[in-house]
This record gives sequence, structure tokens and C-alpha cells, in this order.
Amino acid sequence: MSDRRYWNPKWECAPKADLRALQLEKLRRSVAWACAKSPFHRRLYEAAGVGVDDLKTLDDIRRLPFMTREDWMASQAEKPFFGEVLTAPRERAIRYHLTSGTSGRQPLRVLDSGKDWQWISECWAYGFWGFGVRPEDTVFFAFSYGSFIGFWGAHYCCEKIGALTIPSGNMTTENRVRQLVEMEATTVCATPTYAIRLALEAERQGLDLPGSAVDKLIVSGEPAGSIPAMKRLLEEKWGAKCADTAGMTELGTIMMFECAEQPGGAHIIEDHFIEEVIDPETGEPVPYGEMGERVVTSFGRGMIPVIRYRTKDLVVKVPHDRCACGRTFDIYDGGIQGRVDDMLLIRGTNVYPRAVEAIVREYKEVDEFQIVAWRREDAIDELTVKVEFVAGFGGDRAGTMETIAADLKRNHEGLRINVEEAPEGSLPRFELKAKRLVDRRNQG
Amino acid sequence: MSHQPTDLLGRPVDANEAELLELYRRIKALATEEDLAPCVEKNLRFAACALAQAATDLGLEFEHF
Repeated sequence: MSDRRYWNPKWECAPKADLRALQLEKLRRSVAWACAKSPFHRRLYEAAGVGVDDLKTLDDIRRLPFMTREDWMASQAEKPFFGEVLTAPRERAIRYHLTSGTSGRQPLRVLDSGKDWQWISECWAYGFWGFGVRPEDTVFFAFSYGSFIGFWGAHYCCEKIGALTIPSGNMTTENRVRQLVEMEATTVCATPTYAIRLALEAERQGLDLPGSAVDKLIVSGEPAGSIPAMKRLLEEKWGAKCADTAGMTELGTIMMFECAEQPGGAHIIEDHFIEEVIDPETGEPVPYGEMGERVVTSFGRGMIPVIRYRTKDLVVKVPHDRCACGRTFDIYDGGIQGRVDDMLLIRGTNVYPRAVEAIVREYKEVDEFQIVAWRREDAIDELTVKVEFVAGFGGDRAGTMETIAADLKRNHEGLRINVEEAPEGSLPRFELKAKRLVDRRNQG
Repeated sequence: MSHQPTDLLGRPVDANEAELLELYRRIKALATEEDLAPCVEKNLRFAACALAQAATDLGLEFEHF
């Protein structure tokens, strides 16, 4: 009988050489499919003078050109709505999703077939099963089920597993908390930020979340799920183990998940993806343990081939044996560590919002925060972290802010970072992806 | 002469895997038959997608359709 700890024991624990051979075979078939069916990919590979026959070893993947969001968006702009990335007419699709289109950008629009949705939910199943979700579980989705792809695949994964699934759709935060306690949910899915908000709402209502049936919290959508201080806070407020997952609309699903061993990072689902880590400047691969940009190749989305896609996510890949779970899937240590395009250059020092969050989250008296980059009249760049204290905090506010500022300075090569108090309830709260960075440096 | 099925790495598959592969191929083929009632065609297609996923997970087959 197969080991029930794993969703797919055959490949989750396969020898590396077998995994690599499988990836090469799937890569070859994916490139053949893309060249045959997608004009976007056919042109890309013809221009690079490369084809399936050039893929003799897995290292040959580097002969394939990168696929970028910019090229994908340009294709969409040229041939609305979907560009030329599709491998089949839209009549074959059963679902449409799009990115949120923040920062004035056009949204990325995606279509998927019924077969694609089987795969989307399957990848989530690797993660949910790996973290211990079973048919006996009751899974509550604090998710709005809209055009953002978010937890849609996770919902279907739970139905596939056979768990009792509770969609909370357009419910208010107040009602969600009440219902998940009342229905004895054992597993809750939300963004890290929203999971905190739910916990605070439970406290406000006098509901005992740590004493509730919830023993698993599965988060996605923000890097915060792998920030140790944030995870500790979530686990303490919920009295549950917290697992991070990460995916993207471009893939339709997750490509990594944290297993029940909680190794401080997330396993890459290596039988369904190839994840390369490169130097974002040179495009050359970086070794284990060094930070670089994720480049993903997906095998499952038939309607939109995603091959060597530059994600702009910053990650550090470490070997699988960092974790004791027995999987041979490598790990992204600390999950997604930031974004290539999120880095702020403040007076010559690199500042990553995730690093700021990792420090601010160490302070339990801080309820919400916002990072504001701005430019003084003398053209000097400044960074201010606005903090909102938890309701009723009666401690030393000025002293706490001084300590946070000192912590931030110590962790940013001596860079002075301002810390200011924001009035209670004044900072935005988020249900989906939190956006806590405001860059006002180029505003008039 | 019987043909021994193999997985994507060219290795022989076991009895359960062989049966899964056979089921998948038969159902996928059946779903393309003409004159099927919508209730049959659509459910066969749904089943083919699910079986394709199981076959892909085991490394028995990998294709898009």
C-alpha cells in the first residue's frame, strides 16, 4: 500500500535522476505542443532558431528564450483580449480569470479548459494533502470567489480530496468568523493579512479561535506567509499550524507548498514544473542558497503554454533534504522573498518591503502598517513606515516606534527610516493581496 | 502479440497502471464518437480529463487535448 502521507508518492519521493528525466520528457512535449498550437510561441522559438530537437538534456532548456509578461501583454494589446498565446479557440475554454490590474497596468487575461482545471486543482492537492488536509476535514474559504483566481483551485482540490468545503463568498468578515467557528471548520484558507483580520474580528466578538476546531491555516497570495514573525503571530492567534503556498495567475495554480514538517520554506512541485533561479541582470543560473529570480516552466496549462516565464519573484532555492518529510522536491527557503521590481533604492541602500514587514511583524502591538517612499524638497529620498497600534494599546507608543526605527536602521546598513503613528483604523485593510507600499517619489 | 505498456521514461508499468492507461485511452476515444447524447459526451469528456490527470501524475502519459 502506498504511503498516505503523500498525494503522489511515486513522484514526490522519486530519485532526482528520475524527476529530471520526467521533466525533460514533459518539456519536450510542452514545447512541441506550444510550437504547433500557439502562434506566440512558434514565433518566439523560430526567432531564436530553437526547437524540440535541440532539447537533448535538461540543461538545454537554457537554449529556449525567456517568456516575459511584457511580451505577453503586448500580444494581448495587439490582438485583444488574449493575444496569440492561446493553443485553442476561446470556445474550448470553460473559465476566464484576470489579474487585478493594479498600478494602472492592463490586466493579464487567461482562459482555461476543463482539462486545465483538473490540473489546477491537482497542484493544490499536493499542498493541501501534504499539509494534512483529509476527507474528514471541514475547509472554510475566506475568499470572495471573483475574477481573481486566488483560492478557486484550492476549493476544487478540497472537493477532489473529499473534504467538506465551505465557500464564504460575499460574507462580511464578522459573519465569516462566526460561521467558521459555528461550522467547526478544521482548516481555514485566506491571505496572511486577512487571516490576521479574521483573528482580530474573532477577538472583538469574544470568540475563542485557539479553542475552536481550526487546527490548520493555509495562506496564499502574499510573501508574508513565510515571514517567521508573521507565521508565529498567525499560529498564536489561531491556535493552529500555518502553511504557506504560492502561485500566480499566469500559472493558474500553486507551484510550491509547505508540508506538515514546516521546514521554513515551500517544496516545489517538481513533477509539474521546472523552476530555474537566475541572476535577474545576466540571466545566468545561480547556485543553491543564492537569491535570484524565479523562472517557471509549467506543464499543466494546455490552453496557455508557460515556458521559461520570468516571474520577477525573488527566491532562494535549497536542496530537498533540508526537510525531513521524505520528498525529493527542492525547497524555496522562506518562500517568495520579494519582487525584483519591488526593491526601493533609498539614499543608496536597497530596501525590500518584505524585509521591512519581517521586522514590523515582530511587534505584536502593531496592528497594521504602510511603507511610504517620498521625496523631500531638496530631492533627498525618504522612507516612512506608518504604524497603527492595536486597539486599546496602553503601552509606550513613542518608545515602541523608536525601537522599531532602530531595528529597521540596524537591518538596512544604517539607513534612517522614519516611523510614524497612524490613527486607529486609518490604514487600508486587505482581503486579497495586500498593497502596503506607496511610492510618492515621482508625484508632483 | 501483446504490447507491454511503458511509462514516460520507457519503463514497464504495473497492472493497475496499465489498466488506468487503457481506461483513459478508451474513454477519451469514446468521448469523440458522433451521435452521443450531450449527457454522455460531456460526462465522458469530464471523466477523460480526470483520468488524464491521474495518468499524468503517475508519469504514464502526458498530452494536451
